[in-house]
Amino acid sequence: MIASLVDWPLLGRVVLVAVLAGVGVVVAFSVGLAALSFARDTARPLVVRILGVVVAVVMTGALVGALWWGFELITKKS
Amino acid sequence: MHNTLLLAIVVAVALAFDFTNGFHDTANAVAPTIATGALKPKVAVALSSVFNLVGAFLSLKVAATIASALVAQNLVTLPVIFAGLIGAIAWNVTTWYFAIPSSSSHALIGGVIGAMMVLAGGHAVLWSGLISKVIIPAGLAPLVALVAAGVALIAARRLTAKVDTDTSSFGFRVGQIGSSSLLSIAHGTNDAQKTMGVVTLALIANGTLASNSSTPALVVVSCAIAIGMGTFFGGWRIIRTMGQGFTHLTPQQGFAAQIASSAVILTSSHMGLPLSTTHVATGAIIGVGAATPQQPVRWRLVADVAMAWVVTLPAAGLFGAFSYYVAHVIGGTFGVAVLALVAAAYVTFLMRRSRRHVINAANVNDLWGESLAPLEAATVVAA
Repeated sequence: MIASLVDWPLLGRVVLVAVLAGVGVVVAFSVGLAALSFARDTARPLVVRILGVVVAVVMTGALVGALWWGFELITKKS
Repeated sequence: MHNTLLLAIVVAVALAFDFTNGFHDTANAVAPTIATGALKPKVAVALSSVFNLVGAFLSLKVAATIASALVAQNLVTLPVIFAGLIGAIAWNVTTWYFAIPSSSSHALIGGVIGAMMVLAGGHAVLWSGLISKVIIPAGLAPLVALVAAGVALIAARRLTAKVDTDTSSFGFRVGQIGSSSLLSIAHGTNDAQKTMGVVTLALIANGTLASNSSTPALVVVSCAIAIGMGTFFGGWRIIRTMGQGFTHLTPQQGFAAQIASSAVILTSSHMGLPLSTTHVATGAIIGVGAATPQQPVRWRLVADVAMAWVVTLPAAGLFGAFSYYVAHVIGGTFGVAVLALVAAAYVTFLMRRSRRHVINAANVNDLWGESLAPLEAATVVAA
C-alpha cells in the first residue's frame, strides 16, 4: 500500500510547523507595519502613537528572531 | 580504477549542471520580488546570486551520495553519474526554453534512475524510497505551500486593512528584499551541496579520494561559483512565468508567498523531509493568487506546469537512459566524450532558438498575453 510508505506523523508535523511559521512571520510583519503606520499618523492620540512604536519595536524583534531561527536551521542542517 | 580524463569530463558536466540549476531556480527566490517592483530585475538577480554563493559556502557537511535511498549505491559508477547529469541538464534546459518551472533535483534523480535502469535493470532502483521520498512529497509540497501562503495573505490583508496603500506597498516591498535573500541562501545551501556530493562521489569512485574523505575546498569553491554564476545569468524566461504568468502579484502577495515558501522549505528540510524549492515556490504563488478573487489565477497554465512536473522524472530518466546507452555502445571514455559533445550541441541549439523570443531584464515584467504572446502560447502548448 502506498499509504504505508508515508511517515504520516512526520508529514503532519512538517505541515503544522511550516504553516504556523509562515503565517506567524507574515502576521508579525503585518502587525508591525500597521503599528508603524498608526505611530506616524499625527491625527491619532499620542497614546496610540506611542503604543504603535512599542508594538513596531516588539514585532521587529520577533522578525529578527525569526530570521535568526531561519539562519540557524540553514546552518545546522549543513 | 583511475581515469583522469573521464573524471575531468564528469566534474565539468557536474559543474555545468550546477550552473543550469542556478539559472533554472533563480525564479524561485526572485520572481515575486521582480514582479512587484521591490527590486529592479538585475539588482534582484545579482543579490540572489550573491546569497546563493554565500549559501553554498555554508554547506559544510556534504554527503558523497547521489540519489541515496533511491538507487543501489554500490552500482553507481562514473558513467552512471555522467549519464544522470546529462539527463538532468537536458531536461533543465528544455524546460527553461519553454519557460516552465520544474525541479532540478527531480531531474537529477530521474536522470540517474534512467541510467541505472539501463546498467542494471529495475531492481537497482529502490522503488519504495522513490515513492515515499520523492513522488509523494512532490505532490504534497505545492499544496502545503499553497495553504500556508493563502492563509498568510488573508491574515496580512485583514491586519493592514487600515494602512494606506502607499505605506503598505512600500513596507511589503522592503520585506520582500529580506524574504528573497533568505530563500536564495536556502537554495544555495541545498542545491550546491547536492552537486558537491556528486563531485565528491565521482572523486571517490575514481579512486582519487578515500571513501571517508571530506569534500575538498576546491570542490566547494567551484560548485559555489557555478551556482552563483548560473543564478546571475538569470533564468528570465522562468522568472516571467512565475512573476507574471500565474497571476498578477502585489507586494503584499509577493511577501506572503516568499515567506510561506521560506517557512515550508526550511522547516521540511530541517525535519528530514526535504521538498522541491520549485514546487513550493510555485505553490505559494498560486496560493496567494487563489486567495485574491479580484485577480484570477491562470489555471490552464497551472495545469500545464503540473503536467510538466509529472513528466519530469520519466523524461529526465529517458534522457539519462539514452545517454548511458549511447556512451556504453560507443564504449569507454571516448563514448562519454562523444555524449558530452552531443549534449553541448543540444544546449547550444536551444540557446540559439531562444533568441527568437528573447526575454531579459527589459521585458520580464511585460504584461502576460501582450508583447510576448507567441512564447506564452508555446509555454502552454509545450507543457
